[in-house]
Amino acid sequence: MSSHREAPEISKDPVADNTDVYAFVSPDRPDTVTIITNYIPLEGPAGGPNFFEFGDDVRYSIYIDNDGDAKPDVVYQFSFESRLRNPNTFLYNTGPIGSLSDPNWNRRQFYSIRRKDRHGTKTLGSGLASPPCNIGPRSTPHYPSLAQAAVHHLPSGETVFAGQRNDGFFVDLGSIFDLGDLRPFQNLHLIPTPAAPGVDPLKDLNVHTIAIQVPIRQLTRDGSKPTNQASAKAVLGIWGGASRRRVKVIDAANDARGESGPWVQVSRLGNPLFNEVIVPLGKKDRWNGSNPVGDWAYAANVEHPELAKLLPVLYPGVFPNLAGLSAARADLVAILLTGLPPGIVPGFQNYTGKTPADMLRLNVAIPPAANPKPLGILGGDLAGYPNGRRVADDVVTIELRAIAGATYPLVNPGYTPDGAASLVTDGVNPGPGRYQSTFPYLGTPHSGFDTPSS
Amino acid sequence: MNRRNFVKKAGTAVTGAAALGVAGAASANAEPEAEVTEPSAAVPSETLVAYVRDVDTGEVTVASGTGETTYRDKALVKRLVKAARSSEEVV
Repeated sequence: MSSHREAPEISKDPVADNTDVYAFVSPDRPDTVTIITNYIPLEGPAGGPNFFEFGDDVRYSIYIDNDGDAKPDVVYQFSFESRLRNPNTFLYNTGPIGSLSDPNWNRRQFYSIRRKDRHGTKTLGSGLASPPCNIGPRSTPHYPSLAQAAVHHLPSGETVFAGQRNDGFFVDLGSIFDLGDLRPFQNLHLIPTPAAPGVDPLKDLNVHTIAIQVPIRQLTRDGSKPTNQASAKAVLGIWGGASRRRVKVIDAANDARGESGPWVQVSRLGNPLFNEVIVPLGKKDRWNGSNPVGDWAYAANVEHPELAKLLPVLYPGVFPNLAGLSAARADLVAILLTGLPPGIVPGFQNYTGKTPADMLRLNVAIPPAANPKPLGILGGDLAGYPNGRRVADDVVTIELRAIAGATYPLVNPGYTPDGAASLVTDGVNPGPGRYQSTFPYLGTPHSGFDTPSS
Repeated sequence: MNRRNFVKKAGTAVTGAAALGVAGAASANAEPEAEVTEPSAAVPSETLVAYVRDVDTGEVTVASGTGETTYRDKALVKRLVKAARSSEEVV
C-alpha cells in the first residue's frame, strides 16, 4: 500500500501509522496549498462501539521545507484530546448526532494546532472539533453537513479538518503482495493464472484525515506567491510524521496513564510507496524514526530498486531491456530524492538541490490542471505527481511504470523502455464517491450501516 | 508538557505518573553529583525505569525486568527531581 502498515513496528500502531500524504495547489483556491496526511489504515466502517479516532498520545506533524535543505522550515503540529460526556454507558452515541455539540454524542474528540517557523511557535487554534465517525442513518443521519461543520477557518488564514474520510488511495493489494502479481497481466506471471480485472480492497474502507489548506505566501521562503515555475523558491518539500513520548506508564490500579520524555518519531511519509517498496524490511522501522535529511543512507535502494530486478524474473521475457539495465537509476533518484531538475521535462522542475531526501516536491507556480490526468506528469499533466500529489493521482501505476523503466530515458535518451513499461498497471480505478471537489477533497466516509453491502 | 511543567506538576501531584528513565537508582548522599552527558549506549531490551508518584512523600516506583517495587525514598526522589529540572524539552 502507499504506506498502510508498511513497516513491522508501525503496523502494530495504527493511530500513528501515516498512510498517505497529499500536497497540491488547491484547484478551487489556487492561492493556497492543501496538504493532507492520513492515518489509521484499513478502517472498517462498522468498527464500533469504540469507533476510530486519533491518538490523544500521538503528535501529528506536517513538515514543509522551503529552502531545499531537506529540513523543516514550517511545521504544523496537531494534538488531540478525547472527551467523554457519560462514562456510564457503553454507547458512542445515545441518539442521533445532529451537530458537533449534540448531547447525544458521547465520545468526542478535539484538537489544537501549533505552527512553528522562523518566527517561533504559535498556537493557531484549540478546542477544534473533529466530526464523529459515519455510523449509520440513525446515528449520523446528515453526515456530509456534520463533517462540513468540522471544517474550521482559522484567524491566521489556514483552513483545517481532522476526522474520518473515505480512503482515496486505490490499489490491488491482494495481487501485488501475492508475489508481485498484477491481475491484468497475471497470465504472463512466472506462476500464471488467467488475466483478470484488478480488485481494490480499499474501496470500502475509511481513514482518518488531517487536512490543512494554507495560503501559499505563508509557506514560501520569502512570503511570495511564485509565478515562475523555474524559480527555486517555487518548490516546497513536504512530508508528514507522527511521534510518541519516549516513556509511557500504565497504572491499571488507578486507571491512569502517564507519559514522559521527548517526542520520538514513529512514522514518516513523503513519496507514496517509498518506505514500502524501496526500503528493505530490516531498515523500515529505522527509516520511520529518521528524517529526510538522512535519506542519503537509502539512496542505493533507489538507484537499484529491488522491484526493478524482480519484474523481469516474475514476468519472463516481458522486460528484457529492464533486465539488462544495470546502471544506477538516476531517474528514480530525481523523482523520489532530489526532484526533477530543469531541462528534463519541458516547462517543469521541482528540484530541491543535491541533498537526497524523501519528500513530496510541489512546484506551487504550476497552476491546477483544468482536466487532471491520473498519471500526472507521466500523462502530460504538470500539476500531478510527482509534482506534489493529488488525491486521485494513480501513484501505483506511475511508480510501477517508472520502476519498470518508463522514465529512464529522461536521463538516458539512448535507453528504450520495454513495451510493457508503458502498459503496466495493477488494473484498478478509484470509482465514484472517493473524492469531492472542495476541501478536504477526500469523499464522505463509508457508513458502518451500509458497508460492506450484502 | 515540558520538564519545567513536569516538575511544577509533580511537586503538587498526589499520584503523578510522569516517568523518568535513569541509568541507576542509588543513594543520593553516597554518590558524586550527576554529570550531563550524551547517550553512548543503546536502550537495553529490559529498560530500568523509575517514576515518581509523589514528590512530597518521596514515593517512587522502580520498574525493572518484569517486576517493580515502590519505595518511599525522599533522597532518591529529590535527586531525580533535580535531574528532571535540568532537562530541556526536545522537540
